[in-house]
Amino acid sequence: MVITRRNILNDSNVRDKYIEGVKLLKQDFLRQDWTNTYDIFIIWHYYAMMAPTPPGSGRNAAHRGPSFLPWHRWMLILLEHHLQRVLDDPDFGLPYWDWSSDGELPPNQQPTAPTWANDCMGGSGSPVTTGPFRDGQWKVNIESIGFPDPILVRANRPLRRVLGRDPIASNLPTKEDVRRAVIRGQPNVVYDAAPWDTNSESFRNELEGWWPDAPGLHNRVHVWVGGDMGPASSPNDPVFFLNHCNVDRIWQDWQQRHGNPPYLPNNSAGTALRGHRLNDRLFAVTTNNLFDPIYRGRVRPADLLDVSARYIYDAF
Amino acid sequence: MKAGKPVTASHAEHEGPFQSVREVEYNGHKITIYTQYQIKVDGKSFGGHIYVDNKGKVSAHALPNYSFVSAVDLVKKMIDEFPDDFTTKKKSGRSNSATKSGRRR
Repeated sequence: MVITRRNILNDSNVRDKYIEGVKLLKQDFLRQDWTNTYDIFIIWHYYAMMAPTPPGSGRNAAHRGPSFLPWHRWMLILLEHHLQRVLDDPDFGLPYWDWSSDGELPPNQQPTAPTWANDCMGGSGSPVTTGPFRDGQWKVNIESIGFPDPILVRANRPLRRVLGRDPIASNLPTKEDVRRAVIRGQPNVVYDAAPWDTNSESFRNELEGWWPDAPGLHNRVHVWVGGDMGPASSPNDPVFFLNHCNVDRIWQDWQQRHGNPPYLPNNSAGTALRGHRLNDRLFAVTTNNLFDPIYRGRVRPADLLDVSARYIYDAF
Repeated sequence: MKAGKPVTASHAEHEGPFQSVREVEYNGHKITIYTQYQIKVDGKSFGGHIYVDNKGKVSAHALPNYSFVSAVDLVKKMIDEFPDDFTTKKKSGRSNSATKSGRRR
């Protein structure tokens, strides 16, 4: 069955189910000796970020390199699977947050856009005091702290956000920012390029937000939301997945618009790029079928390029 | 992922300054540039990964979506974001020293 992923502001049913679903995952235990299912995604993200590829490199197993888009696509597919399971709704599709629409508002109005209303994600604050993830309704159980190498430690506190307060990113990306990334390079469109990191002049690097100006697009959204969206434990904020679903939507738009340009690098690239090449296995948190009954923790970028049999987006 | 065990973890420890390595090929030549930072805040050393990219921007794992034109700006941001790590008296274990007892990998 092909499911449809929708704009969270256009479908209150999907919005409410997403909120209900992530709360259910906080109470869901796949095994008695595991942490809750939602927090496994946080742990996975942290460990991927702390796995330099190769050792000594600034590129890690899921960021600052080619695997950024397929690795997060895999993460979204698994979250969507577990939401469908706890909601008992096999038709449920992840919603996305089209942050570029909010980016069209004046900067001082962006933190009060409908995305942050009481019936959607709630608003800004340390702690967050409004909406479904306010203090008492959502708990941060683990967090990434420490300089310069963060560690993952237990926490027991409410969620934090500081929308639009960081002067480095006081406004969200605009529709023009997205359009420029999607059409840039025509007719010589490339998914990624040497040196395969934050210096690459490529679609992946522009969408991730390192080039041509940083922080852009995806990175800018993390910085703009701030608080728990900042460190390696950023999936603590359910907005994380709405951001990445929108990133995935932009990638799919780019793929379709340009006739599915090849993923790069392929496996003729050197071993320094292991973990990022077309047929390399992506970084898994576990190969246990309970967490990943779809790929069993064994998936390559090549397996994630065509997802049309799994889901579509309602609009580009 | 264990329910009843500490989740404290880190992927690396460093006794001394971390060395960032950049390798670039240019006109048939292989260029390798080693950069080493030694950072102290209030006299306390902070060892760990500071990365330098080919444009000279610096970044660290603790703020994964940022890069800075200067290590000074990086450390200033760290102090703003993680004030507990820079207090003079630490009793809670929320420090780099926690890696020594809590490594999982």
